Amino acid sequence: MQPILDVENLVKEFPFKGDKKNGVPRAIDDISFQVFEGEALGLVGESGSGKSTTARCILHLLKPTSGKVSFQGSNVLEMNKNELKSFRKDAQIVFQDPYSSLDPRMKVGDIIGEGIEIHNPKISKQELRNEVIEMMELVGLRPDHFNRYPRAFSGGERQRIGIARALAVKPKLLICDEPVASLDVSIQAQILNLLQKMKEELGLTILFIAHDLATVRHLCTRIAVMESGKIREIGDRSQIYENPQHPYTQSLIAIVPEPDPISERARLVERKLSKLKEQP
Amino acid sequence: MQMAKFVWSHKLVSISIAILVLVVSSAIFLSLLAPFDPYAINVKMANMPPGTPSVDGSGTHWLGTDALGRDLLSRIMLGSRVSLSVGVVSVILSGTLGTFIGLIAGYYRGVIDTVMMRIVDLQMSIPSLLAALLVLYVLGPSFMNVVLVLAITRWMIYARVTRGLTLSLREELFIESARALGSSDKRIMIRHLIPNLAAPILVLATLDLAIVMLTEASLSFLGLGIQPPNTSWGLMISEGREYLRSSWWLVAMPGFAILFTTLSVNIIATWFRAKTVKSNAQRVTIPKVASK
Repeated sequence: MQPILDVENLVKEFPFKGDKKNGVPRAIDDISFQVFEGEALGLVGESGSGKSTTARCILHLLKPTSGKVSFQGSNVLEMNKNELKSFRKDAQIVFQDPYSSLDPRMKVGDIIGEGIEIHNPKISKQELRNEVIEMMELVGLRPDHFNRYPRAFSGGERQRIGIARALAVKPKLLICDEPVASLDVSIQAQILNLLQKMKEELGLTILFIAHDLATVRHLCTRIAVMESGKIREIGDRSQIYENPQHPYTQSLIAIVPEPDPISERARLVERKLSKLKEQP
Repeated sequence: MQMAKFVWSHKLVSISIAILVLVVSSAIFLSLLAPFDPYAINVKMANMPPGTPSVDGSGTHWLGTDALGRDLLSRIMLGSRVSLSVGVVSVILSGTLGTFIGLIAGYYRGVIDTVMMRIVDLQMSIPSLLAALLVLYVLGPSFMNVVLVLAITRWMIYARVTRGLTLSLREELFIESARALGSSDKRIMIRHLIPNLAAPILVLATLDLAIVMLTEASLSFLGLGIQPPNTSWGLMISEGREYLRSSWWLVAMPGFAILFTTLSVNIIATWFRAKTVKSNAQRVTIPKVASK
């Protein structure tokens, strides 16, 4: 299989003024991974581990300090204005916070249609409207939502708007930056199912960022575990879940709750016991 | 019915709107509404107190007459033309200039930002009335010069406010997502930043309108603003000052005109601000969920 996205030795430093005795802090510390066409790769790690920075560097919303990001064979970081614009059509992002990611002064229809308009400025008003409504129906919004403002919607619906906006330009790669982390658990499942459906129907490649392994278990076939700017472990879902190699992965597995309340209680007791044993 | 409800629950705002409508319509429909010709001189009727019947018995000088026997009410209506147009035109000019500069400085940051903001600081440190006086003394007083001077001495506040708002807006996720969609800088500014800046800038402009009208009055009072036989409220106060002991209405009436107009503008601006703040508060951002 051909990798659609190839990240090589990516480094992002955030330099600051003042004391540099301990070196410049690295948000991403030399990471490399590949995303293959049609797969969903989960990128998991605690907050501050550099997941979102990785997403922004891949999309060239942030300029990495060094390294290489190849999308379908061409280097994203060396693209000129036109190449970058067509790359923006092929790679899209859904953000974590569905509140600040939608312009409060724009109608839902205009938000979703913006990308279509940017990449096809000559499109007629009627055609644009049709495409937007098609998109809205695809993600489970009603066509009469077209003329409403984002403040009229709940978190889950707003996230659907965000997904529709990203998918409206028909991207090949969708980066989801913790799209369900700020939603209720019941809504989380709805959004995850929607993403799964989109992946199957549109043949999307997804890079799914999450801070726990429970969220990505369902959607992702391969998982990368990130900690303090480094990728600690990368592998198939079964390998990560059943035979985690790195201690950080093991600790992430340990905090995944069991769906069954009885075995969950037993698991918690066992964890406490093993912690007590560790203490002298 | 809905209107009656609005008037009842917003009494002060309704009165202010009524006053402004009155002032604006008297400026526009001067020839229809003015009871007398504002330029008609009658020396026999000089400095008559409010309520004096006119010499030919056709009407009453409700606000009295000035030193040349001209009807004061008609003169105030004539003056509202200049006072309003100077205010509105210079607010539009300074608002557009200031917003543009603030937007560029806040969006691009860097050297442009530093240079622009130091110019703003520099101009902020000079008292604007003093600067206006100096410039008008050199250029000579005329309607256009007064407008330009008022615009140039007031643009900084718009630049400051716009820059501040832009700095916080540009970090919002919806701006980043517009960039991820491939928006150009121009598009981000026109489609996303300006609509989000509009409400606070409009409030600022309304408040500034009152200040500019007062400054125009001060300049005309000092003799460097509007020149006779044209008139503005400030100029009328200045002319009436000589007769303050005997004819108080010459100063009081245009003074009231300035007071009520600026007060109305301020009340409307305050109400509008409270209204937009309320709608902004609905934009709640939930805190980032701690990932542990």
